[in-house]
Amino acid sequence: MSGFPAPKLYLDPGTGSILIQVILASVLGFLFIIRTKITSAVKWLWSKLSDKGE
Amino acid sequence: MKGFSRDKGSFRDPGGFIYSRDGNVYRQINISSRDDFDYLMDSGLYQDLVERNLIVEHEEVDIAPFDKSTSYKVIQPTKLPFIFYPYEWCFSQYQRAALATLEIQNKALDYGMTLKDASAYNIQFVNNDPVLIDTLSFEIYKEGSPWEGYQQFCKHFFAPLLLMSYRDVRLNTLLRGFIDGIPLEIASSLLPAKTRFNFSILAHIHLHAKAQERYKGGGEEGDQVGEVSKLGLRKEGIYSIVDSLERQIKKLTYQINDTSWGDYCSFHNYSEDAYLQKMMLVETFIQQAKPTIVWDFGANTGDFSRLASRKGITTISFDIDPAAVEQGYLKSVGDNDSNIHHAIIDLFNPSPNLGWSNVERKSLVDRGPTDLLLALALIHHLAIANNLPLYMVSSFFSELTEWLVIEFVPKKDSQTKILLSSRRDIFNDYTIENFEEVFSKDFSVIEKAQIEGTERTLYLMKKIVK
Repeated sequence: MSGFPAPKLYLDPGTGSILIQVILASVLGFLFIIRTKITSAVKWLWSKLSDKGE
Repeated sequence: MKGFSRDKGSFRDPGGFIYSRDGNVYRQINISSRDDFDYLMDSGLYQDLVERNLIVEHEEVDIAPFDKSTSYKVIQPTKLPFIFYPYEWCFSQYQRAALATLEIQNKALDYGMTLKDASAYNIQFVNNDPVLIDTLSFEIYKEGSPWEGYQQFCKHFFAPLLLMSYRDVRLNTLLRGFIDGIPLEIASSLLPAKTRFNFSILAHIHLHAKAQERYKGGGEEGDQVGEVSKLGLRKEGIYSIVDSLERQIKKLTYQINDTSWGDYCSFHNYSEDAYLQKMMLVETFIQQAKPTIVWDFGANTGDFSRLASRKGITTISFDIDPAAVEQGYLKSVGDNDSNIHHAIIDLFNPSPNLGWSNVERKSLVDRGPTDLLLALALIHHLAIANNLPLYMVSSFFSELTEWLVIEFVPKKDSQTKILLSSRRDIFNDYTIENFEEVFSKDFSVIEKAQIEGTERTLYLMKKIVK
C-alpha cells in the first residue's frame, strides 16, 4: 500500500442517501423476488391450462 | 512549472488531476489511487469499457509528472475537440449520458469495482456517443458498502431529466446555477404531484430529499454515515437500484409545446434553387478557408454544419432551440457523422465561466477560438430581434474566429419583415452599406455573393490582424 492513503469518501454520500439506498435495496430486492415468483407461477399455470386444452 | 498548466476545474478528486503541457492533455494518477487504477487496468474493466465505447481511451506515457511527490503514473487521454457541459445538452444527449453512467456502474460492479462519483461533467460525447472521461472515477468495491455516487447521480442526472421531461425541456439550464447538481428538495418541490405516485420518482427524489433533510449534518449524533453504513448493503441491492433508475430514465420523454426552429427546414423562405445555391456558396467558402474546426451559430438542425463535417472537419453546431438541437443530434447519430457535435447555446446569454474562482467550468468564449464561424440567417435576429448594435456583433465574432461566413438579411426579406411586424422600426443603420462598413473594421471581405432569388448576401470574411 502507498504512503498516501486516499480519503475514504471524497464525496459526502449523505446519511440520508445511504439510508434510502439500504431501504430501496431491500424493497426492490423483495419486489424482484415477488416478481420472479409470480412470473414462474403464471408460467406454471399457463402450461397446465395449455396441457388441459390439448 | 514552465510549460505545465494544471486544469483549474480538476481539483475535487485527490486521486489525481488533469494538466496540460505543450498543448497536450495529461492526467496524473496519484499514489493514493494506485490500487484502484491498477485494478481497473488489470481486471479487464477498462478494456471492456473501451470496447463498448463507454470510456475515453488513454495511454500511459513516460513524461515528467506535474507533482513528483504525489505521482504514481501519468496517462494521456485522447484529446477531445471541445468540452460540453450538461446545461448545453439536448434531452437525448442528457438521457444517453445518464444511461451510459448507469451502464458503467453495472459493468464496474461486475468486475468488483464501483463508481465513486457520478458527475455529469465526467461525461463527454465522442462520435456523438456518451463516454466517461474520468479514468479515476473507479474504486474497488467493498461488500456491504453503499454506492457513493448515488446522491450525485440523482442530483446531476435523474433530477434534471425528470424536470426536463415533466416540466420544461429547458430546465437543464438550472445546472448553471446549481453547479453540483439540482438539490433534491428543489427538484421535489418543482416536480408535479403525480410523480409521487411513481415508485422510482417517489423513492429516488421525494423520499431521498426527505431523508437528506432528516439526516443532514452530523452534530451530536456522531458518525451517522458510519452508523447507517453498518446496516449493510448487498451488491444485488445496488444492481437493483441501478436497474430501477435505468428503467425510469428509459421511459422519459419530453414534449415541446412551441418551437421556433424545430421545423425550420419546412418553413424557411428560400426556393429550392436558392437553398441549393446557398449550400454551394457556403461549401465553396469553407473550402477557401481550409479550417480544422468550424463553429456554426444559429445552426438549427445543422444542415450547413454538415457541409463542413462531411469534409472531415470538426464542427460544433450551436442553436438556442432545444428541439432543433435534438433533431440535429438524432440525425447525426443516425448518420454516424462523427465530426459534428451539437449544443444548445443562447448567443445572448452564452455559457459563462462558472464554479470555484470562476474558472471551474469555462465560458463559451474561453473554449474558443475557432478557425471558421458560420453565421447564416442570424444577423437579423441579433440586430433586430434583440437590438444588438452591428459593431458589437462584429467585435464578438472577431474574438472567436479567423474566418467568418456571414449572411446579411435585409429589411426587405420576408423573415426580417416578420420580426419588424410587431414593433417600431428603430433600426435606421440596419442597411447592407452600414453592415459592410462596420464589419470592415474587424474583417476583410474576401468574397461576396448574392443568393439568387432572394434579397440576401453571403460573405466570406477574414479577420484583420491588428
